Amino acid sequence: MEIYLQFILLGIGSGVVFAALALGLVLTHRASGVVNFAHGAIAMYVTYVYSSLKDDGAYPVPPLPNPFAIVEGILSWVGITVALPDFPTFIQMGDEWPWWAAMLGAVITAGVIGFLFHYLVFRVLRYQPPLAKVVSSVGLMLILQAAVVIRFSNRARNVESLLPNDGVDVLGTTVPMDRFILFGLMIAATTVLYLVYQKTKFGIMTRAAAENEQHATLLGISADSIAAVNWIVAAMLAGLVGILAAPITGLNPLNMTLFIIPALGAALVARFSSFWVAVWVGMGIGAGQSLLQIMEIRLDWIPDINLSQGLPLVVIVVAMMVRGQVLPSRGAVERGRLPLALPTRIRPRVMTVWLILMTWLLIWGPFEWRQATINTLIAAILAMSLVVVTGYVGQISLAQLSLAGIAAFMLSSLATDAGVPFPIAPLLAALVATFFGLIVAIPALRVRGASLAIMTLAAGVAIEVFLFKSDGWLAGDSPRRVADPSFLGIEFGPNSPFWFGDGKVPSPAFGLFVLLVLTGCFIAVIRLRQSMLGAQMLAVRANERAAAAAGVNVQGVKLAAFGISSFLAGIGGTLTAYKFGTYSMESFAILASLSLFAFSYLGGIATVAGAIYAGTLYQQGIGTLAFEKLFFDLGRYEAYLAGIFLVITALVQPQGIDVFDRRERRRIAWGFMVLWRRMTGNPDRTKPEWVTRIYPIYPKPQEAVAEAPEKVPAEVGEGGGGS
Amino acid sequence: MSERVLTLTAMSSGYDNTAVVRDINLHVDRGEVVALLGPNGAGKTTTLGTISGIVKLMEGSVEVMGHAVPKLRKAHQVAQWGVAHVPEKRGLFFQLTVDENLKLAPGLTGPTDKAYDLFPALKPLKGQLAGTMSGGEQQMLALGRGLLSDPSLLMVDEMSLGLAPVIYEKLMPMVRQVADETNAGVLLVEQHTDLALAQSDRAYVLSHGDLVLEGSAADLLRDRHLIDAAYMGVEELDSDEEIDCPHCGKTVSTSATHCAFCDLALPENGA
Amino acid sequence: MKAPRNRFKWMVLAMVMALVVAACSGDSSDSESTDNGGSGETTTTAAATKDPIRIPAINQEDGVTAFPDERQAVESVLAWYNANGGLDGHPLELDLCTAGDDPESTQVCAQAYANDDSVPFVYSIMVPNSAAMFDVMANAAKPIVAHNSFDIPDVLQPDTYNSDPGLLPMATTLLLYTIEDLGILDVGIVVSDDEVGRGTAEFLSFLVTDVYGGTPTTITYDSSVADLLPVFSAADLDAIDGIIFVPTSVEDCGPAAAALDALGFDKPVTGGDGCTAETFVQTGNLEEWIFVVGTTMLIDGDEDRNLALEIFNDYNGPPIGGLVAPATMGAFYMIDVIEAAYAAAGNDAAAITSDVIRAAAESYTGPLTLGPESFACPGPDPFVAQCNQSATVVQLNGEIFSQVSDWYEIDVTQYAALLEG
Repeated sequence: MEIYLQFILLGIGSGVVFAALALGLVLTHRASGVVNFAHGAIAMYVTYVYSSLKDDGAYPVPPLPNPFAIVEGILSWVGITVALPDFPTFIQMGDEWPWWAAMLGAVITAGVIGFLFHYLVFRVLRYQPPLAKVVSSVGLMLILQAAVVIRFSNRARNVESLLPNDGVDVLGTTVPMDRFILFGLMIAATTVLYLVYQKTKFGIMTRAAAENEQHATLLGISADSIAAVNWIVAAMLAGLVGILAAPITGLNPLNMTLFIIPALGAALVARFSSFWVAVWVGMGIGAGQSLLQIMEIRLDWIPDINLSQGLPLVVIVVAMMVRGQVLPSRGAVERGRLPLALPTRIRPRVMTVWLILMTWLLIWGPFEWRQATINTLIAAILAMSLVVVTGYVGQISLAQLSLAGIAAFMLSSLATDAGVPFPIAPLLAALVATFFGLIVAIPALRVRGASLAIMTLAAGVAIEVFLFKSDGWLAGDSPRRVADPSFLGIEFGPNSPFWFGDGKVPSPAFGLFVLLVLTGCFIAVIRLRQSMLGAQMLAVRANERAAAAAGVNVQGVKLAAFGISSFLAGIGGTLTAYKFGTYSMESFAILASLSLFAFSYLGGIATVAGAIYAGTLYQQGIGTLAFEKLFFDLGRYEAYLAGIFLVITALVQPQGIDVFDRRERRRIAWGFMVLWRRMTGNPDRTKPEWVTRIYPIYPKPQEAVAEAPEKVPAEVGEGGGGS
Repeated sequence: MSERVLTLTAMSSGYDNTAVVRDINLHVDRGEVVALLGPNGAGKTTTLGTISGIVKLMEGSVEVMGHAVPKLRKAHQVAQWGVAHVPEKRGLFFQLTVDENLKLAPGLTGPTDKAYDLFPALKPLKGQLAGTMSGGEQQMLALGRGLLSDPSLLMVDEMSLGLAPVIYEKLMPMVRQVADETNAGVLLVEQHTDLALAQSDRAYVLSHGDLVLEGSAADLLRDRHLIDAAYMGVEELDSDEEIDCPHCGKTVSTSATHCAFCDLALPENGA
Repeated sequence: MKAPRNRFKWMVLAMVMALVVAACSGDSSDSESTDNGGSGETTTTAAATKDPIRIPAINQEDGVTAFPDERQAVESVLAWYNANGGLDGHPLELDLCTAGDDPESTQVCAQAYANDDSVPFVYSIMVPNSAAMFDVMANAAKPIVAHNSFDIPDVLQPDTYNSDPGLLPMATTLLLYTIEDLGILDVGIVVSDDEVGRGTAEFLSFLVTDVYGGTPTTITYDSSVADLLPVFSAADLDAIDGIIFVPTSVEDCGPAAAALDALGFDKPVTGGDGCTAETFVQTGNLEEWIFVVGTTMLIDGDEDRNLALEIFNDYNGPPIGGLVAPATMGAFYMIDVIEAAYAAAGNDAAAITSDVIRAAAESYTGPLTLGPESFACPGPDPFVAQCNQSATVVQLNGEIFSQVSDWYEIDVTQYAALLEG
């Protein structure tokens, strides 16, 4: 019995980290109604700054675009080569710094980061729907992480402990003193925060603004200033957590970013309002994980499946089931628009042209482009799974790639080990993924918005840990090979021979196979959008209560969405496994899910066209290759730029790249034509009809239809400007 | 002698680029109580919102304490100039206690005792959450907070809403008291005309977003039918039954003997 | 809605134009190179003036998991080599294709080499996503000369020649040293919780119980856990007389050492060479730890170490230690293979084909400069990719490594049992 108490005590180290991060999450949510997924990343970034200042006396400058490069470029066109100054990567100030100076520099940096997050991003997004806020904080997380990778590569950095870590004997076990000191510091911080927010005018103003911003404004409270101060404090707190805890947790670009998940669980239980609840639940998760670890070892009847890593998910799910919609609203009216889910028509002629082009490319194109196309097509299917669940129904899911990974694993087991033939094996694998997707969907039925994002994130991690890492029935020791798919004796794997083409890899056979699957998914999703279920999905997205009042089975629609989306993710997963000929966990890690989400939003999360755009930008897609060929190899900057573009998109244009749609494209094309004509000295022509023509969305009925009614619905449908 | 605390000049404002109130001319001086009357949907709340800077001003101007009303982002400045706006839903924070709500009075540096002196019924409720109080208690709290900040302009929106007449009749005279004792200007928005006019010096009547009637409270009390007609809306009068008063130019009904606005005799057979 | 729309459009177009201009300027705006991580130049002195021989290489260094130091080590070795005459006057130049965290980027590099007829083999520096390149290279029948064995499939892949001793053999050596040299039978085996870790622990436990009659205690930790303290405390450290620490991810060295240090564990700890990186050594938590290494490059005073230090000093090398050591050793192996291939091709660089490289790699026997006493490829069936080699054991005292044992022959055939499990 004593040993279990010991282990509850031993959980103090990780518990403090989770609790302290949860404190910051509560702060930022109170400040601006945002669930800050980037909170752990702030801690990580600031700790790197501290480490760099302390060990090297060098201040890392975040990667900034150099305007001089443009000047250099222009000058080089006319043959002048100049080397103009660039931003320094590090500002060297002396050699080593004393710890307190480094900490000061780091904490100031943290404050600046917090302020910028507020001023540049979340202040602007105040009235936008939760999707925009989730996307922005994911984007900021990617930016911070990429900035660290660019500046520090992956040289593991060790942060020395600032606190004494002599062992203290408690309850028969030894606990280093630093954990207790950290615990004490955290309790002190929580007390201070509690007192400030309960007693001081600033604290009361913050709570007032958190409850109802408009009423607060009437009392002369500047919600903006309040939010700014809160953000600065929260960021500084995150920085301190990172610096003090790094000797325990280690410092690398990934781990602190992932600690956010248990912290989110704790903050969720606290309804993002109560400091003390967040702290105790955070400590509880730490203690619980520690307890589960010893229980797994000591008690034989508990399977060795890494239960402790699933604890955050359990906490989150229970909290949601019990409390339902947990995130408090702020009394402000949401005025922002969700990305338009433009209805589309399947235009057979256009599609045929595209298919012919793609077929040509996949058979006779240069091999790099073939592989890029294959990557794009598969990524587009994965993005489509997000279009269905997030674009159409408004359910934010960050677990898509984990589900895809399940399918990939199953494929390996079924096809290679059990010898199940194609096409049963991949379909079955996708169905298994669907099954897990529906399991994830059940607790998701009661929640929406950022709460759902949190839950799916935790679910994705749980899937990753339970099923992939442990002795669970999906992991194994043997190599996870996936045999080439073949049907009726014809092989169409990535290395299979093909009658035409240059004989290089990837095989056109595989490319055509993927193209076929994508076309099927494309048509299916468009049909879905056009169907009654699609309309119901959009209704649920717009307003669940109104949809229910109109007779829509909201739960059923959500389940259907998760089911269809998981199936698509599963298909994407099996294709990925075929692509590599093996299963590779890296493809399906939680960071990949976040990355896919980011790119899907960038491409346009509510349309199939957006999914295709997302596919071009995703890992080694056509967009990446084209960029590399035309400009330069982005390398480590790709993630950085992706994060920046993602935030910009959320701020300015939630439609994503798909904004360049239909009439926009035609107008741009017409604009270039006019420019060309003028440059070649030809007179202007009148604007042809095809530039401004509004294509009807649905096929005309057989009888003649008057022109006028076409205008209004078509305007809405085309969604050209839409305001 | 009195200083003008509020001036609206040809003000139009609304939501989503659609004007809800049009061409309003209104002013409030120090020490006077002005009533803003009108039926539901007339635009009274929108008008107050525009003065407070939370509704976007589209045309015309709003001047408060000599300052032009700021952009939406800086709306919080209005309260800092000495405007106390008690909104329609009382603007209380239900998660905060009575005392905490009081502490939020803008510009408050001292203790909150003055509010308790004004409303002794609040004293035992000091630590109670505002969301758990009765309507009357909430209204007292909202008023108390508004007065704590020693405003130059006090705006109260539909104080009587949801209150029993007994309570309401007790609270109403307080606004007169405030104007007399502190020399603040008071803008009182109400649907219940009689009691409001009893405390006011002047009144304006809004209908469907337009200012249709203005005058001293005494005049309007005497000629209640004018207000009723205004509530009905001027445009409801058939054009046959309308003539222009030759003295002041306003449109009046032919059935009246005297002009509703300038109170001069109308010609018998219409001019 | 118009205004934001237009703004977005123009912003995107403006950025594209900026990028076009920046790119065409040649010295593009992203040319902020990492600190002391310049690309090692291959200096061609008067000694190496003939046509360069290109070495097609893949290295993962663009993502979160990155190994730029190891590539830098290879480059500085090549620079030194070329400055000293190169290969019969031909400088050796690295043709580097970098990959990121995503397996797609590794596959893209592999495909480029597979499809290029002038490329006879691939030199894989550090590629954790090796699975993405194996199929491609096998299909193209081109050998892979590597020094990364991250995972069990890495050592089973035919036509691959891994100079890195690998996790399993290192762990076994540590165990042998602990049991035979230190006389410890109650052994604690600390591994990270993944396929490789669990497999390693299983095998080592088997050795301890069945072969030596000792008592093993397995401790598995999850890299993503915030605090490793509970895990180590769970291990009932009083019942353990020594620990063997085999992390799959090098970053775990720091927190694990800190946790053990905090617990006041003062019995022998043996660990893998990943932990010999400067950044961990400097913390002081690894004092008196014992490491198994595949090269004498870390041993203070050893002539290999002096040579390496000299090379890194003169040719922009990274800090010695950690995985840089086996990478440097592997670079010398790779050079030896090319030298043998060149000779077999009649001193004609153009005649170096896949078969020639393969033959050279397979028939190579050590000792390697900066390497183990004996070294031969391929390894025994089915571990063909794991070259036969030996390892030695060093101890850390005040940031100095000293050799404390002889060389151990690493016998990988013992692991055959694992494959069936």
